[in-house]
Amino acid sequence: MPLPLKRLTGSLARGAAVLFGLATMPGAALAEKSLVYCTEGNPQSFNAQFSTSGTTVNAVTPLFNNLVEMAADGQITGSGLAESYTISADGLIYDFHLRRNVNFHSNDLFTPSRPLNADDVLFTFERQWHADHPYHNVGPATYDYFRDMGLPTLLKSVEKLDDHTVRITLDHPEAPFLADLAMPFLSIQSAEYANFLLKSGRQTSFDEMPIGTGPFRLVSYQKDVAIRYKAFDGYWRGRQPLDNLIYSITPNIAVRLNKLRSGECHVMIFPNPAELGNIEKDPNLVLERQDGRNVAYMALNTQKPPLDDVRVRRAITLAIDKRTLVDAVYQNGGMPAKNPIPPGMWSYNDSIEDHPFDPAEARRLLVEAGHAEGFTLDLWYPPVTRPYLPNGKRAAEMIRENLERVGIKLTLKTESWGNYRRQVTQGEQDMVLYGWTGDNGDPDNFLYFLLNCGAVRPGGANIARWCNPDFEEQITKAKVTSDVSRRTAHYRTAQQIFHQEVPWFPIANSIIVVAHRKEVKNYTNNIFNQDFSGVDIEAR
Amino acid sequence: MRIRSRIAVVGGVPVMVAAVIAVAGGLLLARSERVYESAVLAGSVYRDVLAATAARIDYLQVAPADRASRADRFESMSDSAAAELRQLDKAGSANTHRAEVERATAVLARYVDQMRSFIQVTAANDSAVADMGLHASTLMALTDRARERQHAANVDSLGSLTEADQRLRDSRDVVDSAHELREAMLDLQRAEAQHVAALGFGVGLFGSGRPLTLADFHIAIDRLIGTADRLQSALDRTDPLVDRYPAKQSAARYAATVDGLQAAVTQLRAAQAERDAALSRFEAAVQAAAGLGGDDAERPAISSPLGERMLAEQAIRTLPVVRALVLTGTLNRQPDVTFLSSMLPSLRAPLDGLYRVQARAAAAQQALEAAQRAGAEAASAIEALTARILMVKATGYTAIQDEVVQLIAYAIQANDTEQETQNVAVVALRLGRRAADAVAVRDAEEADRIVADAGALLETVRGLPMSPLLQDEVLSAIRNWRDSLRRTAEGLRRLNQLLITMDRDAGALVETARQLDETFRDEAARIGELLTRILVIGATIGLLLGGGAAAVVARSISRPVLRLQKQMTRLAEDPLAGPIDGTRRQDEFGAMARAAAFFIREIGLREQAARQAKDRADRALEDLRRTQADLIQAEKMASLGGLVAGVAHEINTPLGNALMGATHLEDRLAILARQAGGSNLRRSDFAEFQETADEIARLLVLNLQQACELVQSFKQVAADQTSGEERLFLLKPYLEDLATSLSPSWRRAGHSLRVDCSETIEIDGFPGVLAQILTNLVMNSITHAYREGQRGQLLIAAAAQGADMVTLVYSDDGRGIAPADLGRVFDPFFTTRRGAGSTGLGLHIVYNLVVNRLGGKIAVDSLPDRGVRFTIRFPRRFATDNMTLVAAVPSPQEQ
Repeated sequence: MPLPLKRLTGSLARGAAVLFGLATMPGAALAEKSLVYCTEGNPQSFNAQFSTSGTTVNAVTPLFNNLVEMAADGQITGSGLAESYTISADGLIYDFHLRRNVNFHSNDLFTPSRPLNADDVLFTFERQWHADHPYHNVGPATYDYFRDMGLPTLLKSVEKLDDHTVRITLDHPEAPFLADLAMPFLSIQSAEYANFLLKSGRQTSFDEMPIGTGPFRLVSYQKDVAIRYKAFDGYWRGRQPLDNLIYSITPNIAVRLNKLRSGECHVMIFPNPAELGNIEKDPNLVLERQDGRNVAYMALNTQKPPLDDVRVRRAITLAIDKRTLVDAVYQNGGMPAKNPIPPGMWSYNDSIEDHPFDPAEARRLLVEAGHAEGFTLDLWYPPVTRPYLPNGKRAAEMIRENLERVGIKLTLKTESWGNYRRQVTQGEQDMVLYGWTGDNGDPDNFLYFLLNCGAVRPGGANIARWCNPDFEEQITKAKVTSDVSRRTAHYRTAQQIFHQEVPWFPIANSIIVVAHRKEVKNYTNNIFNQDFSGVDIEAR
Repeated sequence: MRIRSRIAVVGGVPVMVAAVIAVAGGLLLARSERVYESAVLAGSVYRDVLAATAARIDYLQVAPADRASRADRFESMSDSAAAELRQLDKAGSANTHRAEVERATAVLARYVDQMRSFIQVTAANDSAVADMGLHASTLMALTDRARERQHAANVDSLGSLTEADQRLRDSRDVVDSAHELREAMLDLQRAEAQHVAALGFGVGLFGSGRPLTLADFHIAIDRLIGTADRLQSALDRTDPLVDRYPAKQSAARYAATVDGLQAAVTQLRAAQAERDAALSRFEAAVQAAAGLGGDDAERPAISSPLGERMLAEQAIRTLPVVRALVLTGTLNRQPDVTFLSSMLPSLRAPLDGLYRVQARAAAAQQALEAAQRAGAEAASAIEALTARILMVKATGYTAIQDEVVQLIAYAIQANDTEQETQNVAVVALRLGRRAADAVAVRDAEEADRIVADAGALLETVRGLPMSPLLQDEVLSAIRNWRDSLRRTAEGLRRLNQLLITMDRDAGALVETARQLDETFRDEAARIGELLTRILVIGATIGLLLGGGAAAVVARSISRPVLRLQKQMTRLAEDPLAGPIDGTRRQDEFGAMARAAAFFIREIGLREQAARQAKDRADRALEDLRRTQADLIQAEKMASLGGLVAGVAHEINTPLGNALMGATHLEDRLAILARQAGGSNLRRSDFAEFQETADEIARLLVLNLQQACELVQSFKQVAADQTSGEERLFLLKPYLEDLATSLSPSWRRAGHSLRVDCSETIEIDGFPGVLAQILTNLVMNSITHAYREGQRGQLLIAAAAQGADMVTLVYSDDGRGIAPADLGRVFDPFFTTRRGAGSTGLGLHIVYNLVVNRLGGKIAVDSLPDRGVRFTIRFPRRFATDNMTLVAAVPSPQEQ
């Protein structure tokens, strides 16, 4: 029986081949490129419609695309899901021509049957917009960003002209509207996935197991540990050089650096400003600095006595040694701020003279306002490093020291980051340390979004609860015209009003720093769009 | 009845019976043989199946690497069983058992098929197990890596902690220095205050009440400057924003104000003293003017008019007010108080002085106040500075402490993780061991349980806060391991099933084979019994019948035969002595008697003729013997003739050459002589002659030498056969000596000669003969066997063969002898190298020596390029009778 023996040796040979294959497999496995990004916190959601926090945006960005995109310099580019767009002369009608063959991800539940079309765009808007939309009440149902950007009143209609053309009609002209479209809360979601989940009654999965068109798809999320992504093979711009993207959730700033040094992570968010010198000296590490286009501020609750008195607010402003605070907290990573928008932004009013550090004058104003004996206030500070504020606790402590000297006693308070964000938008706090990074490079995104009267509501972004008719008039007028010089004039006036009324104590504009290992290639510190596309890693 | 008929009757009966028995027996035997063969086949099948099953069991138990041989064994065993079954099927005897055989064949085929699947499954399983090993070792390597990485991270943590600690220390240094500066500043401020206060109360008290001196201030200022320096250097060392904290300047500024203050105080003191003096002077003047002065010294001045005196008295009353105003520095603001005094000319000058000093005192007072203000400002600058430093550093301190706490927490967590990782490795190892055990005993359920446990381990690892990259790799290693195990478990289950069915089939096969074997054996035995019975019964019947008939017939035959015998015996002595009876009988006896009578007469006649013929033959034989001897002699002569002819031919060539050379030399000599005689012998001619002569001489020597050698050899062949003497000697040392004596020849040519002989062989004969034989053989090899430069290996091996004979083998590894020439090598003058000077007598001599002198035999065999081997067999003890043995050898060759 020679045949079976041959077969036997054949199968043995196959076995050997399999063995050999396995022996070489670890090498192949190692060849998979994985990038670990050490981030600072858990995302609040995988849907940016619910959370404006940078942490959420960071976690969501690799998954989705927008109709238009923002370049690193803040310019809108038509390179997003809309191949092109046209705007009517009156600035009210926007037609977007969608790209064809843009694929959605698939996951354990769902495999898309079609590429992106107009339905997906409509779904993205309507869920946030219409209270009767089947998905409107799924999840926290807050849509703060959508509301605070004024979209419910701005939008008149969002229509599907054909499968690949969407027409958005505005109620009134809105200059920053295109910039809004580039923001994470308007990243395009899959209507097909939403319908599928609706049919099977699992709508809540929609925001937990997101389906997008982005360069990476979500694999798993383990709270406090890691978010794992894999390169999406069908990404419309082409597959990414990385195979795996892992966000290692590491709240501790020192530990993050430790992990970066040991190679456990490749990219580290927000290094400690005090460590920048050391990082720069480390031959394995690279620093990427970028003007943060942000502002850190202390919001003074203008609707709560005694802060409703502008003299008190001014006294607080005069009593704080801003220069020393910024030096200590930001080291070289920030400049004292005097306006509610960052200096690089157009319409920044540099002619405004910042309030000096003058405790005597502060004391005088307090006495004048009838608070010779002083009073006690709450000050809330963020518990984690923020791009605009590396150490909220220290800033709060320094403010407490300063204010004690003029007779104002502070009680420092904080909460876990998620709760913090929720609570400080409820309007209960006296003073809140907070900050803002522009999503779209338009002053509107600061002045209107953070300080308009409509955002004075529980959950609203106007933490100072400041509603000033003169200011409101300026920022509203600036919104409806697209004449940049007129808009600039309005915004400059608005900054003057802000300076006199002191709803915030602006603290600093920071430099955003990201540290990464040398083997990470093509990483750009794009504060608007951190989706890791194009990033590669060299085998060590 | 004729004898023939009678004998036919007598013989026929048993023959018939025997024939019947033989036919029956033959048939039965043939059948029995077939049945028996079948039984043997069935037995073989039984054994083969058992052996195949044993191989299969072995297959499972040996290490994977050894399995192939077991599989081969199984294949060969099952093959042979299948072949035997086929044979059994073909064997006609199995007709009745064909069904069983066919079933057995089918079962065997299934069995073999199952075994093949079994082998495949086992191979798959083995590879899965090998995979598991691989994944397990990957896992171990990974956990090692995790530990190393953790260690590196710990080292880094420690570095961060150390650095944080340093920053804490630095902060504390700065904070301490700031506190000291503030304290020094406060001390100085207090001293200043006292110093200034002392202006009012007379003396400054410094703590214990000791009046303050300039030195005290110097010490305090030095301390201030010193602490400021320390603070500044601490900031320089630790704070990049040191420019924002001008501690030194502040301290210097404050020190300067303190100096200024002291100067102001001194000036004020001087002004006050002057003021006091002026006041006293004024008061004295007023009193003098009023004439109230008690002092004699003032008296001469009192010569003023009464009006003035009265005025002065009035003025005296204002004196306390004036004093108070002067001391408070407000005299000039109340001109009416001094109005009276100003009326008095004598008082005018002191009053003016009073105004002057008061103004000076006021200025000094203002200067002091300014100095105090400057001091306060400088002090508050220091205060603000230290407050700022303290605020920054205190909050920084807290921040670093927070960081340290977090780092320590991380380090603890990291260590926990490391521990957990270690545990994972331990659990994995344990699982691996369990898996190995389960696989060894083929416990698929246990394997399933281990797969489940591996799932739990996966969950554990997934929950570990370890490096995500490593975690991924660890997870995939465990997952792969588990998958391999799962595959193994499936394989085991399949193996177990196969084993059960195979065991069943093997059992059935063995049982069938055993039954067949038994059945066939029984049948064969039955046939045998039948045969025996037939033989016994038939033989008995045949015996009885034959016996009876024989007894009757024998009697009727024996009598006439006896009679004839007696007569024949009588006539044997003389055949012609008388007639034979019963020649007239008509039966066979009559014919016999007649024949006997004729025979006897004939014998008598022929005996006479024979005697005459014998005599003739004897004579002819004698002639024949003589002829034979003649023939032998003639043959010998012919051989000698051939020999001589050969010798003549061989010698002729060199001698001819020598002659030719000599003749040529003669000619040349004659020419030379002529040249010499004619005195025209040139030097060159002579040189040429000399050269030629040299060459001819060499030629002569060479050829004559060759002729001599030929003659020598011939002598050896022909005449030297009796050389040497007969003695008793040990073969081995003799051979070794011989080899040594030959060594110049073989060693020069680069060959080796080895003697291989047992120690105990003793020869009683002619050692010289052996020496000649071997010398010739060795020379033969050296001359013929090897190419130039080739190194040969020659061997003389000798061994006793029985008690009396010795075998001596000589061999080389040279080019050998062409098969066509092999038959002729012992012929005289046979050579392939006559041109090279061989005579072709060497082997002939050897042959003659072996055959004639040793009384032995020689044989040659050879393969081209493999060498040649001469085998010589000869008796240990030489005896002349051996020659007869040798003489019978028909040819020089033995193949």
